[in-house]
Amino acid sequence: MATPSTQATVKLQSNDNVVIEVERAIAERSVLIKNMLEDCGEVTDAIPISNVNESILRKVIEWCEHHKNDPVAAENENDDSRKKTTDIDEWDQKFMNVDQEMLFEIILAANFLDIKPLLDTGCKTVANMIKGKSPEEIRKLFNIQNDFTPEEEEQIRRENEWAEDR
Amino acid sequence: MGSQAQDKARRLGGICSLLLSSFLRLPNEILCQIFTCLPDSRSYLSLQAVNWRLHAAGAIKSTRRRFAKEWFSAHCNDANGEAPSLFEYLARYVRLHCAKGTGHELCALSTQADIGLWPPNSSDWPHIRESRLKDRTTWSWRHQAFSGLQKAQFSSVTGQLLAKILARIDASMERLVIPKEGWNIKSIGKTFELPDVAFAEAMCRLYFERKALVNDDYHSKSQSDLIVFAMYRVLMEKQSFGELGEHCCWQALYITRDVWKCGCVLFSTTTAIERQGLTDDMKAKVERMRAKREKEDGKIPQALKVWHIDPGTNNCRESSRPSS
Repeated sequence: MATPSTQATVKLQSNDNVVIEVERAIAERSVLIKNMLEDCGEVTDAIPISNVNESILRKVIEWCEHHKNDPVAAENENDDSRKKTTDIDEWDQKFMNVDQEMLFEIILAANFLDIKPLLDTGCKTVANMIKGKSPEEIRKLFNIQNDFTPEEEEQIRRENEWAEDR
Repeated sequence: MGSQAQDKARRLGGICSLLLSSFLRLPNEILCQIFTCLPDSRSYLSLQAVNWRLHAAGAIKSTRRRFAKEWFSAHCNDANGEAPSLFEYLARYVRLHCAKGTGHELCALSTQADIGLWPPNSSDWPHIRESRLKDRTTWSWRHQAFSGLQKAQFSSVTGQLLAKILARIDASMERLVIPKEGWNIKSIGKTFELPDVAFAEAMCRLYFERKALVNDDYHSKSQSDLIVFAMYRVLMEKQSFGELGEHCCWQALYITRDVWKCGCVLFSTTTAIERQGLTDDMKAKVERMRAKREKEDGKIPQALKVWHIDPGTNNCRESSRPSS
């Protein structure tokens, strides 16, 4: 096992080869990076973040900077603990106020880097965009093609009849 | 169109969608997580009806159950000022009484058929079991308990919706395999699904419809009083008493009392002393109602059993029944 490192900063390299230096504590919001640093000890080379480009990586670092003092959730957090709210923090709402392409890239980056709170915030943001919309409105919103046949659509409508007011 | 041609067209459509929609570039596990974050059952069904991939993601049982669990955790909590945890309790209660088989092993609400309760052991009552299967609407407890709400004028739309949702839960329970330990008020929550969320949403709608009417009184109440008070007003308010049906009002009183007695979903937000106080309060209300009815015409609807939490096993049991 590697000896614990005391280095203050780490370098991250995006998939378009841009190297960004960040505080170790900030980078360690990512469980992937945290585990990597714990396993390898002192890392002088830039860590390649192969799935994330520069602009998204900077955005993710911005989020990590803002949340660097947040308590880290326990690994085996009790699933039954009752959540207080589904609301998104005001700062996070502004942070997530980006175009769809970037929003989904942030979600993918959070998933790859294993930053659960950021992934949760991203998914909640998408869920809020969907709230109260009909299937057709959701298709328009996300540019999704309807691949059901009319018969299948009718069957789904019948399946969902129990939840309709009429 | 033949099924092969349909599949081909669907695959092509899927590829086109991937090229066009960045949303569909998200992997399935993230799509499932988005489903679990949705704020209501309608949004869930809408997203599922968008295309085949989303339909499949939303149909996964674990996704539906996680959604239900998240929804109840986030929305039915006395502490956050939204719907009280009473609605989560009611959803469990309905499930318990829709359970196939004996259904009362640990919670043991009844060993005889009380008002509207299904006979606990169908082999003893084959003719009732048969008739229940033919016509669930007349034999199930939930029909008895909620029939008043379905007729109530103020909630005719919500009432019809409730009837459809309850029928759905009822039918789904018939297909469930009974766990070895049997159903109990705690473990029943593990079977929660979309219709349970829809049920709680419909109950919330009733609750807030009524809350708006009694808003002035409402502000002076403490959080714990509020639940009893609002539930009481939802189902007991004088002007709708006749429309709701007396049976329904009594059931509401008994259920509310049992919530405090049992405390299954209220452990996190109330103290034992608080629950005891509320149990006594509800008991007194029931007694007052009982005395009033006795004086008027002598007809008293039969009570549901009061439950106890067994401190050793944390299971509910009927108060008159010795702990095993």
